[in-house]
Amino acid sequence: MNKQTFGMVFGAEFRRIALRTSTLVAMGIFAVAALLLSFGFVALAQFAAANASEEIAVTAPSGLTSLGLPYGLICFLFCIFTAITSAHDYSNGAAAATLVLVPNRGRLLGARVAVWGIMGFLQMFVPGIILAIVFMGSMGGLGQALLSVLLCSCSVSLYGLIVFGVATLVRRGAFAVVIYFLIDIVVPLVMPMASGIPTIGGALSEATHYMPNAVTMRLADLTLIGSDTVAWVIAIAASLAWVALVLVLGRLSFNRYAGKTS
Amino acid sequence: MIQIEHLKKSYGGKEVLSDVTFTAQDGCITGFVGPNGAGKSTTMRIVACMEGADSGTALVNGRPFREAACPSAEMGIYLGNEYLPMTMTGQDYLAYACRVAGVDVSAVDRLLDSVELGGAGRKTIASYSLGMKQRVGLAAALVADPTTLMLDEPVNGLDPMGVQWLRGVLRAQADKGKAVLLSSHLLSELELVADRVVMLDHGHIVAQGAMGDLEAGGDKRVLIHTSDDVALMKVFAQHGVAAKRDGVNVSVSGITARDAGKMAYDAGILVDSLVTANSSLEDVFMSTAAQEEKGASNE
Repeated sequence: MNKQTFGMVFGAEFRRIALRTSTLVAMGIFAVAALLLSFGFVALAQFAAANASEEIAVTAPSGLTSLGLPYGLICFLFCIFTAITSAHDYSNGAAAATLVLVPNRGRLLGARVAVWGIMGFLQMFVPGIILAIVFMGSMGGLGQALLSVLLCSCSVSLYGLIVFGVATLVRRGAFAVVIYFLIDIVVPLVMPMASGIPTIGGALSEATHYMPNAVTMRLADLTLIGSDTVAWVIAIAASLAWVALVLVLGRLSFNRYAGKTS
Repeated sequence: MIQIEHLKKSYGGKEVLSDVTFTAQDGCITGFVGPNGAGKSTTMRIVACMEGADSGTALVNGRPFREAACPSAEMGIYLGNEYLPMTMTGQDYLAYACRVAGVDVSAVDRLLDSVELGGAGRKTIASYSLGMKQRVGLAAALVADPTTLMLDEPVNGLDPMGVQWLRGVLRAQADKGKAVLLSSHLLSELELVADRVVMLDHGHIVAQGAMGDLEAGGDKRVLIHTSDDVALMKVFAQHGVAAKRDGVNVSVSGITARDAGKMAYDAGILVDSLVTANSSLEDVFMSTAAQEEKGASNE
């Protein structure tokens, strides 16, 4: 009789989620899209610089262009994919079926968190390595470039986990996507506008800096290390706090899940 | 062994299980019977730790199922087709079950062959027929050769050959000393396979015991085989005797075989065979449930 370990459950979940055809195809498309975006934008910028008249100064492509744009695209696409795919388990019977075979909910959910965290990391890391090698010149050398890639990969991983937690909490793909859009786009746009509200306006505006998208982006900002290391460390702590909060809520919801498909 | 003690469960103030207590013994097929909505599936979900009870305990081999070191080896579970992963292929699902049980994935082909799904392993479970889904669910339950089996309505959707096959599988498991808990609302099917029966109605246990004891404790019935069953049933109706078809026989209760034979003879109906038998499980259940209802209304 083999004792059911976390490793066994993780291995099974990894094969089920990360290695299925639809996941590999989607992640491949996201990576290619990010690379094309980066190469395309850099090529455009170089073309503009080469053909600019003397009166117009055109700056050379920067690390922001070569890595920042694809990071933003990958983060967006991967989070939508995470929201839809992880919530879909509750409607296609997979969540119920796996719970019958793995009745320890903490072990099962922990394995899924590990799988999605690794997937988020690799989603950015693989195309990021290619970009780091190609554009290391504009990124301050290979070492700096690789460090940037590492931070961006951690950022995508953490933001992906926040979205995974939301999907576990609501168990509906469409609902999870809507919440993601609220967190990522609507709230950051609206909250600064609230700065004019008496008494609480300042606090609301300041709170924007601690929303998940803001802290995960700051985590990925290599320029902060050295120039404002405290802000960078706070960004890491805030990101981890958001992940912990959403996963705790997701776990509480998962504890009440009775396996009936919805 | 599955031990359930004083289980209670309510949904939104409505009690669906009330002080349910029974044991599914090792080496025995325990039939868990009751009409739709009696609480059988709820009980099984609680045993499988899919949901919690309001009070009481449900233990598998002495502990809650979620605390099992090797869940798949402690208990194989089939809770119905809604607990199957529809977008996975049969092969992938069984491979998943093997991996979480620590069983070599090479066992998948053997498992598929054992449930006669050898050619359908690469198709998604959503494309399976009802019977195929049940077979793959059963295969997943048997992955780690568990000491206990808990199956919720496994015969639904199986063709007669499939039902016979399942009977053989369950009997073989019980003969190996395993506990089998099998729920069904098809009492006639359970009669053929269960050693013990637990009857549930509206969340209450109304009767439980060995199959033979329960059936012997009910009213005797007379089974008559004749080619003129329509006329015979009319004769019994004229005499105020309740008669019904039971397979190829006419079944009457409340009178002796002698009296039944005389009624048929007096009406000029030729009888091929006449035998006294114990009550069917269905008869026992109906009379027990009626007594319970009568008792409840008197209160």
